[in-house]
Amino acid sequence: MSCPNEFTCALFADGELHEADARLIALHVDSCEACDRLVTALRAESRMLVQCLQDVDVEEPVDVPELSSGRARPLGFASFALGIVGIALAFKLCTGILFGFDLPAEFGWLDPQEGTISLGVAVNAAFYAIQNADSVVTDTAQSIVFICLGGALLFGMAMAFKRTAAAGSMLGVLMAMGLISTPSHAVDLRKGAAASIPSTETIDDTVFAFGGEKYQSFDIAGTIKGDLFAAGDVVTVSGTVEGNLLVIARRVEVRGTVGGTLFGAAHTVVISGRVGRNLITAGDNVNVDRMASIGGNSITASRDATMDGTFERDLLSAAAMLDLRGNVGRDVSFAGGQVSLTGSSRVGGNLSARVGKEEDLRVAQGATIAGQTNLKLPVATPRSSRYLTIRFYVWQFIRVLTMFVTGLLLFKLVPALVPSRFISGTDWLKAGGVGFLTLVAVPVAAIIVGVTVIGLPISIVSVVLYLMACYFAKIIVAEFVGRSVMQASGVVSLLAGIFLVVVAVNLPWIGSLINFVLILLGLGAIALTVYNAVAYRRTAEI
Amino acid sequence: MVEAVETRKPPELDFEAIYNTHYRRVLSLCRYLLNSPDRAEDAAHEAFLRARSRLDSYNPAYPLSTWLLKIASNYCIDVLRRKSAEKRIFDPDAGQGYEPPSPGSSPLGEVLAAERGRDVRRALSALTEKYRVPLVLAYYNELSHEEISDILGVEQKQVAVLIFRAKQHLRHRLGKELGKGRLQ
Repeated sequence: MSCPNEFTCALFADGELHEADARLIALHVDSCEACDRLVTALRAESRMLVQCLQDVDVEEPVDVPELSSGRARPLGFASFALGIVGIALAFKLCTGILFGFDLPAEFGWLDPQEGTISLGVAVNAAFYAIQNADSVVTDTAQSIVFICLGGALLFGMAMAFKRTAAAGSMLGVLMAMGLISTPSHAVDLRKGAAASIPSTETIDDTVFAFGGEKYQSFDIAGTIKGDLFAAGDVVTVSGTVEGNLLVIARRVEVRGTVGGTLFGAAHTVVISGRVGRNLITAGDNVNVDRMASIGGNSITASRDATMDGTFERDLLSAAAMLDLRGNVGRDVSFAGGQVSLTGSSRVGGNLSARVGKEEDLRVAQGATIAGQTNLKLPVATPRSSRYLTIRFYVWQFIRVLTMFVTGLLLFKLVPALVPSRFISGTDWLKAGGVGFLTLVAVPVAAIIVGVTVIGLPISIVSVVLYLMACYFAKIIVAEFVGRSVMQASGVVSLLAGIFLVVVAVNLPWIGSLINFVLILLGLGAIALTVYNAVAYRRTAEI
Repeated sequence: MVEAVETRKPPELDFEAIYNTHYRRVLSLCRYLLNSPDRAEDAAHEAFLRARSRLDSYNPAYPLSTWLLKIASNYCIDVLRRKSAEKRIFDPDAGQGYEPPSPGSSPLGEVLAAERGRDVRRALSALTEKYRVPLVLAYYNELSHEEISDILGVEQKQVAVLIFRAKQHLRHRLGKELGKGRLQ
């Protein structure tokens, strides 16, 4: 047998070879002086390693600290989140008690004084939405779908980590089904050609009438005693619907009678019959004929609106162009481009118009307004919630993405910054304290150093580092949050953590405070990590 | 080498004593594995808390120290995995596979190196986790390759390769420090 290699000899020396192999090597070693020497040396080396490593237990005395279960108990995500939100809320309440509460912009609609403004804002928003319907609807829908999908995905993953992948997926599917499905009732369903109801027919129940796959037009000439839900190309109601009418079509014509409320969404809506209660429509063109009468309030959002006929109660309109020719029993409120009242028009209550310029309100001679005329010109940008803008969600998405990429790079380049040492509540309290000191001390020190001309570069560098650390701070906390939630560490947990942190800092009322607390914690974690690294290097050198 | 005194009494009676007896050993292991005194203290503490909550699962047929060291090893390796962005820290290097490593320097002389226990430990702390951890488990915990492969979740032959390479790196470092290429 030729001499075994050193690797095999090492396994033999450590007693890690299989019995048969070990017997062969033993035989060889007995007859080969060189291998015998090598195996003896390897055994001695192993003994020496055991001795050297275990000697530390007698050579270097240590103090045995007290064992307390509170010291390093890992802090769960729930307690961490509760702590942060609690701190922010407590601070808000304290300042509120001392200096008075101010209602945040997001809750403005709760304030009764703001009610009318809110209505105006709502009308303006609706008007804007109509004008930019395509892009607004598409973008909003996409954003919502992405957020829901992302949330479901993250939740599914979290569940999969905690339970099994199958359980997580099943839960996700069930949730999606729950979200998508709608309640259904027993109804009279009519499709395609059968959707038309002849004048001789009377239906006692609620009717769902659809144009079918070819999206046909149909006419409801008969009588429906319940509600009518209709969708088609041209939907005409020449008969009677005793309940409510909800219709979506390219063109809607109501020549007959609707006993309840009419909800209509169409390119063109023409009303020439009678609507017993409210008229709520949205479309490019809304036309209420001279013969029409509306028993309740009328709310319309459209590009062009021509309002003839009789409106027994209020008329609320958002339009680029409103032409009022008919008779309104109570108030008229308008928001949009231009409103004109012809000589034949009559308003029983007040007229308020929210328009861009004074000349956008035209009242012809002969028009009667029983109450006051309020012209509301834009004075300032109306207070609207940032949560209602798509821009906000796009920016938050970009924010998550940049934080995520930065986080990946940061932890790849400086893995020591992963806050694995910060596990208990005490650790984070300490980090918060150190973070506060860092937050205050660094700028002060930078100013002091910067005063002397020589210190200026140091001052600038430290300010830049400080600003970078402030940005990294939240990523570091996000890593901890993600790890706590997912019970694992990795790319997905980092993303989940960043998502949660971005959601938290955007919460109304306390978001900015949470942001501040998270910066404190992260900054403290960075400072302590750097301090520990320096201190450890020093002890290692000694 | 001082082996800790084994306790055969029902463990719940004097966990305090167990803690005081074995703390040193567990802390040393954590220091070797984590290479950081602060993190080692936290880890040793956490290991004892875990041990206390799992006392029921301890089998008195085996030495208590082995059980405690196993809990501490598992915890430290979890910490290392969490710290490392790369989870498979003990996997073979790309392209190297399981090929037995080529022989390098000769084994360290027993007497010479034993006098320099401190140097050996310092050289050990300079090794990367990948080599340091299996070496510590093999020569501090005195675990078999099979036991180490269980803890690290890698194959047994991979453990053998890692330990062999770790010793080569150690010899190389010590050789450079002592101004000698090869030690006999």
